[in-house]
Amino acid sequence: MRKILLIIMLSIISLTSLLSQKIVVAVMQDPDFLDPHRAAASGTYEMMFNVFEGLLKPDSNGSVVPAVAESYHISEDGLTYTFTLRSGVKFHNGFEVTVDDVLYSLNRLKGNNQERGLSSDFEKFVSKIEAVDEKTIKVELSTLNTDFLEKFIIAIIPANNDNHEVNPIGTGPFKFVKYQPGQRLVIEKFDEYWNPELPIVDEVEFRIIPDNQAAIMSFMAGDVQILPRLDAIQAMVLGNRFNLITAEQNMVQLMAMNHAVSPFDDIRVRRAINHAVDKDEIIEIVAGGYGTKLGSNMSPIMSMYHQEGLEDYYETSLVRSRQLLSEAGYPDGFSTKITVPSNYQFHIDTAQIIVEQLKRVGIEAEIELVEWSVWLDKVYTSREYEMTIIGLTGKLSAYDILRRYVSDYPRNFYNYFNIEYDRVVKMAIEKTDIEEKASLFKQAQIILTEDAAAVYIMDPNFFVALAPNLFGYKVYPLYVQDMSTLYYR
Amino acid sequence: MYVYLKKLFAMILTVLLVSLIAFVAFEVIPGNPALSRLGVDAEESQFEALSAELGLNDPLGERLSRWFKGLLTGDLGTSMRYSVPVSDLILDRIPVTLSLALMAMMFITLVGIPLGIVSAKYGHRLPDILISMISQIGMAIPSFWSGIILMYIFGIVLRWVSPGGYVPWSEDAVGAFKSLLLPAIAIALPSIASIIRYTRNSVMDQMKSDYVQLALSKGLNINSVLYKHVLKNSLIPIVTVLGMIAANILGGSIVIEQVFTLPGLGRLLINAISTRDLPLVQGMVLYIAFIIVIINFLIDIVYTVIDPRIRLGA
Repeated sequence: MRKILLIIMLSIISLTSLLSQKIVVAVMQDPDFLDPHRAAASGTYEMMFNVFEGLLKPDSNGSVVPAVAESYHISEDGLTYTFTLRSGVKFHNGFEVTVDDVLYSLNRLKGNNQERGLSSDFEKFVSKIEAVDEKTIKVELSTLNTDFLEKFIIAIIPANNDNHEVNPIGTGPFKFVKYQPGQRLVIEKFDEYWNPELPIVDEVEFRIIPDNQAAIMSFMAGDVQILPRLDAIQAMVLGNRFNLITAEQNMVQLMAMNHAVSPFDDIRVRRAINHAVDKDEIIEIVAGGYGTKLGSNMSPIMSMYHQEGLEDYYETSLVRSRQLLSEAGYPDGFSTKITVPSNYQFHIDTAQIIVEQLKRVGIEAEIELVEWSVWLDKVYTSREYEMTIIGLTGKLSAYDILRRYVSDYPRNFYNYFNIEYDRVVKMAIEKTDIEEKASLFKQAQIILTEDAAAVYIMDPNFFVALAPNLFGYKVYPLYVQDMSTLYYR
Repeated sequence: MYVYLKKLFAMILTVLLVSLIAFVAFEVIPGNPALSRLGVDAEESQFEALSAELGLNDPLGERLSRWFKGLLTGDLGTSMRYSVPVSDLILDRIPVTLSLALMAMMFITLVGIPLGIVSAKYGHRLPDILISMISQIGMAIPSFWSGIILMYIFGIVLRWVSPGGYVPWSEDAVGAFKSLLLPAIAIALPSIASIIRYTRNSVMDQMKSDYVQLALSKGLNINSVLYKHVLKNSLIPIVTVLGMIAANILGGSIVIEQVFTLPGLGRLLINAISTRDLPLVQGMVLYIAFIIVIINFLIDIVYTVIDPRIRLGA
């Protein structure tokens, strides 16, 4: 009798452990849109990366690999992209992906004469999208952009879905289950995923916990199995009882100086500030040493495009800094204001160190904390600020990273204008030769450094805390959480 | 009856005024709902499309009249941040905040009032001094701190309850109770302390009055004087304070809900404000005004029960 009971109990335990293949991931914010073509926030992509796939998808090396497409070909002149669809790829509603769905998706991005497209890039660069046969799609560009391949990671969605916002359907390893605003977004395993080995777990819940402290508590109590994006200090709080993974995150933390505002319109002042800021000290204090020093707007993780040796272009030197300030007419320094979004403790800490460092050369900086909404409005959009500290999340394409400084870019909040820079970046995306392209992107970074466009601080490492029995986490140089390879042991 | 109509009219006027102020305030303060929703990675076209969809480019007067028109037909509008009806968002959160409020109010009355009476009974003697000291501390400790401490002790060290993550009543009643217990205590603690003080002072005031002195001098037992005569007479100010506390908690316990990650109204309000979600804020303002009206009405009724000399509407 007791044996039978024991067997029953054991089987119940093993059954529940089989059933409970569920992962709870703490995320900071709500998605902006579930419709993948309308979504812009990286916090949304982080989750929906598991639900949607494009013709291509990013891999953990930072390159793109075929997904809905099985293969692709780029013509000699770089203007025509030909994709061959993978056979047997199914949407979550059970229908197979056809060329019509691909045409529908890409045309939705490009727009037509009546309606604007949902992607400025597709609108601007793509001239023609056509189906060659039942398996082949051809996309022609009007203007050469050799960084356009990465754009095809955008989701392929079914043409027969009448509401992509309420009922998002994709081809990814997980299908969307439900979203409760301010609470959770739940996805579950898609059994007919084209890669039969993935995903492994049955269900993933992204639990929205805006308060970091609360998230850490939930994790310690075992309610949450993954805490992505902790900084070094928070990771220290957890100690070594948990599975911690650390990696560079392809982020550029920088202090922007508004070039349209005096005295930052003077290159000598910007250089003086660069000489006064000691990045090593910031990395040591704010990131506990876990950060990669930067010299321009590119993380070394983008190994192909990263220009080496710029991080020490402005060696920390108070003498040099004072000298430059005197030349610019500020021998005794000046007063200024650093506007920092109040929801990013990491940037606030950085600002506090920088304030002390600037004092050494006579610059009196005051920290102004603003709400994130205010930062987006006043600093990022209206450009009404003097200095600000922010981290820009990485992209797959070097062009997407560097074009933030192009004169006519709508969100060039640095107010950086340099015709030479514009020319180099434009030339880069017209090069079909990868070496030539890389060398032009490197040149662009050198220009930014020489112009002291901003103070490039670091790529802070991020820490992912995993429950002790959870394995298979893949780190991406992108703002994503890939749930498909995770498994319990 | 006439008095009630007058009260109702005043209330409607107040709500309209508050809504108008909220509208104007959102016009003045920096921040844009489309920007807040899309963040730094949005393309210009996405931003423009969303602004147009949310009607942000329309003049203030037009937006204002649109909202009031909707309100007249019972439509609170659509949230700018979540693109779902405001009423759905609020209704979805009410069970959490309501159960939290009920539990907290239970603790407050069941612990606060008896302790207050004991304190008054032993005025200036050891039990009173002890209770006063504890209630002083209770009032001084901010509820977010006691929340974190409770969470740490019972959630992480002892693992009796889950420290974060709300379980709906419909899914698991025991789990729901466990997930709300600590936050309810954290909310109740400072209020218990203040109810103790109000009860103590109110009872002690009554104890000084002539009828009590008479009752005592003719040899009545102190306990029967306390519970038969004094308590009823000292309840009026206590009920008033309890009503205020209830209205406060029902409006959403912003801090506690944040600390315990409870999907209540407080968190919704904070979200709405920080993302400049005006329709949602307006909806919340209406809800809070409604709660206050209801509670005031209930208090009026309770007054008449406690003291029949008070008549409804007088």
